[in-house]
Amino acid sequence: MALTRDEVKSRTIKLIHDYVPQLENAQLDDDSVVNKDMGVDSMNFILVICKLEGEFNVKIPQEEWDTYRTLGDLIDAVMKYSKD
Amino acid sequence: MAETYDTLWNLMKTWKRVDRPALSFENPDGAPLTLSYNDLYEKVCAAAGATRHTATPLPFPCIKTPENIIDLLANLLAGNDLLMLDEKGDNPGVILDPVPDLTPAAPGTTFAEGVPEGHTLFFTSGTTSKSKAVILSTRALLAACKNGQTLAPCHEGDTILAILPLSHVFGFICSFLWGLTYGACIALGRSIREIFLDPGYFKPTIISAVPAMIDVFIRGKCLNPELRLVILGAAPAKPAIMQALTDMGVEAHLGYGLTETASGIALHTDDPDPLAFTPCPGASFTIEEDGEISVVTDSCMDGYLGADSSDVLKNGRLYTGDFGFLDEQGRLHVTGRKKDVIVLPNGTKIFLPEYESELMAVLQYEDIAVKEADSHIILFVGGPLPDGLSTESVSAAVDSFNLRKPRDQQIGNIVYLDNALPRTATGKVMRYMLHAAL
Repeated sequence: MALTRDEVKSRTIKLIHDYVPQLENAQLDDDSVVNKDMGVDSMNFILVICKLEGEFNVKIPQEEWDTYRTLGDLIDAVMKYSKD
Repeated sequence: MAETYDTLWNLMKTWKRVDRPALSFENPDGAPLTLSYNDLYEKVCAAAGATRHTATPLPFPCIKTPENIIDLLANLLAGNDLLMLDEKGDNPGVILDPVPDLTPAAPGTTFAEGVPEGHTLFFTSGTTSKSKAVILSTRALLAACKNGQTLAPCHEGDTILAILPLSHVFGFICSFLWGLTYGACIALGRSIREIFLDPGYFKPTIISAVPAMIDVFIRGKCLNPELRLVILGAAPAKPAIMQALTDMGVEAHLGYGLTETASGIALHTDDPDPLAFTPCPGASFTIEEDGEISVVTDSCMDGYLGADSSDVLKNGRLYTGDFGFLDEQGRLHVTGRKKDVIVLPNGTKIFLPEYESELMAVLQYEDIAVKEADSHIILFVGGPLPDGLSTESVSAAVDSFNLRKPRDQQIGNIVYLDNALPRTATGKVMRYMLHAAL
């Protein structure tokens, strides 16, 4: 069954809460900044993407990682590549 | 006691006819592939024999594959000087014009036993100023390996996972040359995509990393059960990281050193002070009159490429730019960077890491830094501010902080940045870049 955007969003938020200490209690929405501009360590951000790939069984092209800035960008990436 | 090798050629002779794996690397079809010490020896000798000596330093790109490593060792044996560049091939802001010739050998010479070996040139991180290329002889690099081996040895059965960039001296020594010098197998980390899967794939017994990196590995539960030793460097490690590793049954050591000393010259062992280090046998420390740490070490640089080093290297003694003291047991305690001190017009010294820690506790926010401008202390606050913190609450907290300080030590102005503070890859604030925000 196809993933809904809401489902991807709630699971992505849980991953961020679990793995990014700076954001572990943050209220997150689509436009919340979740990358280095929010003080998130680049390794932490990479961990989140790797965990997302495992969680949703998708492969997100590495050359796009630097372009993601917000929670919405991450959700869009999962939605886009889970359809391929 | 660790053996001493003064040349790469002397070290490599010990690899001949040794069947043990020297390198482990990705096999797209399954379990990692390996290359034995003897095969590495043969391939390097063959490549060195075909390598011509050049008069100027060769820009050397990132080291990712066995072929890169063979090329690197062959060039050093052929007497070439290698300028280590990062993954993108960048020269980080150093103007090399004209490029000095470091070795007198005539261009066109090929490798032969007894020919002077080349130098390896590493860029400094650029935390407090623009980075410089540090000239390190192979003798200095091998001395650094011996120093580390004496305090935290690796063995023939060990596998060291190389995930740090080998274009930086900490990665080059502590996840590469040290292992090859003492018979371990070096697992060449795959791409950044696989970095958190590499421990499960290569099953290393040793990882060298910066503290921020290992913190993420711990949080992501990415470390493998075979891991026995973690060498940390390039930045202070929070006690929680050391404790988490200890709880996992992993021995963890933080090293102290500079690019100019070819990586670690002292290692934290069992002192409760996380910034207390046991000097390596090849390093003799002195505390200068102003509190600066100086050192005489056999792993010291020859100088900077194309830049004056006479202010930091005098008569074989390196002035580290760090403050510290030696305790009764001879342990070195590092208290901070000389450039992290503001000297006020009345001569009062403000030690920034201490001052900033106090502010962080008051603000309950860590993305801050202070800097002096026009005899005032300026607070820089990285943004965007998290929930629960506003410019008003920051101002109120700073007001209460100021009440506890003498007038000349109070924050005179607050600058809010749209983004997080500029930091190096190891998390250190690049203070010299803060001026742009004023």
